[in-house]
Amino acid sequence: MLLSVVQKEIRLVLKDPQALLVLFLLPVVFILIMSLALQDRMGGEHQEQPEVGLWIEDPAALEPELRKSFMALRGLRVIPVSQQDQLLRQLEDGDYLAAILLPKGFPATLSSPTSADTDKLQIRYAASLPMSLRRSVLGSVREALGAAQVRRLFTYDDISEAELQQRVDHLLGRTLVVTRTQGANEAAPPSSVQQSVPAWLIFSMYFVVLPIATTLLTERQQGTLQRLRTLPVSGAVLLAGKLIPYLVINLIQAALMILVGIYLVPLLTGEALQLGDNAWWLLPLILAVSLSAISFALLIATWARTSEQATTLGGVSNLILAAIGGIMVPTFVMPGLMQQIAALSPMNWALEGFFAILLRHGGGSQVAPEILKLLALSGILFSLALHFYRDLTDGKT
Amino acid sequence: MIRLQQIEYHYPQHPPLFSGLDLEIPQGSLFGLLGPNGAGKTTLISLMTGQRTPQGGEVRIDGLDYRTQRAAILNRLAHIPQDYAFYPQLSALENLQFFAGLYPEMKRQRAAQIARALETTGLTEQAGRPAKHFSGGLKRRLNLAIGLLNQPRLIILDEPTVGIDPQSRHFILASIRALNEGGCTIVYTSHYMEEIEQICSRVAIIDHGRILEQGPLDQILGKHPLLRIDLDPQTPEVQLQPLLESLAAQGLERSGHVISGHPGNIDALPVLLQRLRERDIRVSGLSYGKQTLEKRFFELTQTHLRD
Repeated sequence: MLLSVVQKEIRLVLKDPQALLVLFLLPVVFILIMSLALQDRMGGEHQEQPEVGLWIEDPAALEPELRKSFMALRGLRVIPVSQQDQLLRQLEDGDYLAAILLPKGFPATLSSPTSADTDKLQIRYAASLPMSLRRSVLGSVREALGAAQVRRLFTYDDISEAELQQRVDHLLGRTLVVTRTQGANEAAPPSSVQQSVPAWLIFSMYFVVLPIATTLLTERQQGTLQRLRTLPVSGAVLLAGKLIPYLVINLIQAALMILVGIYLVPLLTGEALQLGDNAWWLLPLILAVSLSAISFALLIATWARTSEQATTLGGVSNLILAAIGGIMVPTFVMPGLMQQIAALSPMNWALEGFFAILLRHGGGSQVAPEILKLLALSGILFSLALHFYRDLTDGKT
Repeated sequence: MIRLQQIEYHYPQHPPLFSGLDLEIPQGSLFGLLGPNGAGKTTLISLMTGQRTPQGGEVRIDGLDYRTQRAAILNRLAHIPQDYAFYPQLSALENLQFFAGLYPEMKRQRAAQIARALETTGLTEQAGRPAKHFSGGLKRRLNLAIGLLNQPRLIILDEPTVGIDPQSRHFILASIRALNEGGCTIVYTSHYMEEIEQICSRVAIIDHGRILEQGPLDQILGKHPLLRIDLDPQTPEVQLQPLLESLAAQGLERSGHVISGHPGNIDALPVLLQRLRERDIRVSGLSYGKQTLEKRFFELTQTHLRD
């Protein structure tokens, strides 16, 4: 009996190309676009550094040590360009975030506090460069200049290079500071692929609401549900029969999206998804996410009175849950209040579960709380859906 | 046999629809259920098929009670709704496989039952086609085929011939008759009176939640024989006017040049004919006998429009 319902649901989904498109193609496209688009703006081991162009008018006049410092500006990738005009053109074309210009008279300014502006180092920013990155570029340049100036203080001391570097680091304060992140975000923020793959997977899993609601509402509108009421089958069996095939579909979605993250994203110059040591915890997590998504879909499908109502309600609520849950905008860039609101979304519970495994390589103690929350929610939603469905299918007064 | 006894039913925030309704549909009968829109037919069918539970009274199918033997009743019953109650994306065969799978008792004979349902409804050749590509007639036949899967002893058909061509209608009516001849009890609702007259042996006419008349069709139509006298259409109105009072006294009425009605005493007919002759009114036609179902239906339910 249950097998017949499952078989029927699978046949209906397979004959619905639009649903398959939404469930499988849409998340793949999102994962690829967002992983590649955000790879320079998010964390990750292979994160590419922002590029700046460097023009030195008279390379021979610049001390090799200073030239080396400029080529290794902290947090930036420095590309030497031989022509000033060419560099400025490339800056305007958006090839670089900033251009660093060292005129012929620049080396002399290092020992002269009252130099002419034309001899000073110039930084030209791209017009669209945000203020935070401007400060970052300026800070890196000042740090390189500071290191060069400090190094000059010890020019005549008879000390080894290692000792000289130690003094430079000390005077620049590098050795006086220890940095550490406190609290929930103890680990590094996710890379673009670590964010995109689970985020858009969760989002697409919740979109089972569309085929589930369409099928159930069509059954109601076409009188099929009326016929089912007169057959010796209970509402619970009919509803369970809808749950199982979509559980399988969600598992296939998960496998596909993870494979996209591991194999397809790197082919397109992105960073490959690493599953970590506790990857097997992904299975119970994905099952819990799937159960919550399907139960949510069943509740909407059984509560709504028309297909339009169900698809609108399902679509909008998914978008809202995704928007507040860190799917569309990563939670680590959200202000504190929004992070608290995000924690209310089951999509955020799911996402945190994925981060615990993929990012922090956590095991049961880190993943289980998220799984339990999702399962508890699934139980509540499924019970409510069953209540509404029984009203529709079983004999009633 | 279907027996509804002292049925009480009301929808929330509505006045009672059924108050002490009794209806008995004998085993093996082909029973026509008639009523205008809003009369209570659909609710009555919902009660017979276990979709609704009455607030009072009891519904028994072959002596079984829904409250305690629901599964047993549903295993022997088929409800064929007016809507195309199947999945248009699936083929006829896939639809039948799904619905057959919902009868656990049918497990071993499932394939044979599907083949039989396809054959009975003439759908064997169309089994692999998606139902959405079917004509109205084929869809009606698939609707019927699904209802035959469990070899029901009772079939309740709700307007099974709406919107189909005469050939398909003929096929469906013949199939229903054959099923009835095979021992199946059939409850048939339709707004097509001639269909009911054609196939049903018993009828019930329902309106405003009350059974207005029920019994064998022959008895119902013969109980109130209809007299019809066609007058010469050339007869001037002034000659006809004086007849009105005497016609009313005999339970007759005149409409144009036709006198019709149910005379209280047919023996008075010669007297009436004599009066017509005396007034030099010629009679061009005369009939007396069973009335039509449609005529009886309108007599009981009136002709005003319903929602």
